[in-house]
Amino acid sequence: MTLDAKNFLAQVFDVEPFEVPDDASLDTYQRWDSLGHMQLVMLLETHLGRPLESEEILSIIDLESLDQLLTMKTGSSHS
Amino acid sequence: MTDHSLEMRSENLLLRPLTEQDATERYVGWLNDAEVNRFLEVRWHHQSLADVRSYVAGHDNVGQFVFGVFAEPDELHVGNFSIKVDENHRSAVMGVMVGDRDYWGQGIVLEARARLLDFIFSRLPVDKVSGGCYQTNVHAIFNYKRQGWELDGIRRADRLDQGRRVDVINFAMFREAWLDRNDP
Repeated sequence: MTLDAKNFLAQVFDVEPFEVPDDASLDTYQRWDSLGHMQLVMLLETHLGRPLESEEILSIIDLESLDQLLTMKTGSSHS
Repeated sequence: MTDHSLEMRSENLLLRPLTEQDATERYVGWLNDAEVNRFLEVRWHHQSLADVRSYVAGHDNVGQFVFGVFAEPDELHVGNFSIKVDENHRSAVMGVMVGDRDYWGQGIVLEARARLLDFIFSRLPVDKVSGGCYQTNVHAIFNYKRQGWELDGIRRADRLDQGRRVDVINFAMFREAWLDRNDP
């Protein structure tokens, strides 16, 4: 997992990155509510420069899945 | 007339079938509010008090229900859930609207829907409940996922949302899954 995923969540939930637990997920992290989820998707769309596909929105459940979306952006920029 | 046998309570909410008395200008106002109705089909036509009364009257509370969501402590009407049962297939379709914007993001959809799923799977001949939302309705997607609904298919570019063709994402909750979830 990259620090970017934690930074993303920290930005959305207005906390410091170290305050985001390693196992933060949509099911377990109390700060992760529907408003935060909406902000997270909007931030991701800004970062990727396009609307997210349905599958991508559905895939966002924890830090690992968020990291995969961010990695995809990094990967595509080098192709 | 209120059917008290269908009244339910959760920690912060009262749920009961709507009656004609619940068809108020406040309710009509929600349906004509562009933010509230963004993902509702009623947005295509201006809604009136008569439309709401007709909608409420169209539910028999046997196979078709419209439950009002009333927030404690004042039992303020803040939204609705609809449930349509297909007895032949032992399935149901559930829809939701939170009309009072002050209650958005407060968790009432999760709280009310949990109580209604308990009701459906304990009192109705239903094994599967379906729901769905536009791909742009991220709040709804969050709620379905947080509550453990499973993906039940995606209808591609099925609807128009603010001029853009968007998918409709279908979710399902099965009896076994819901009961297992509530039986630690």
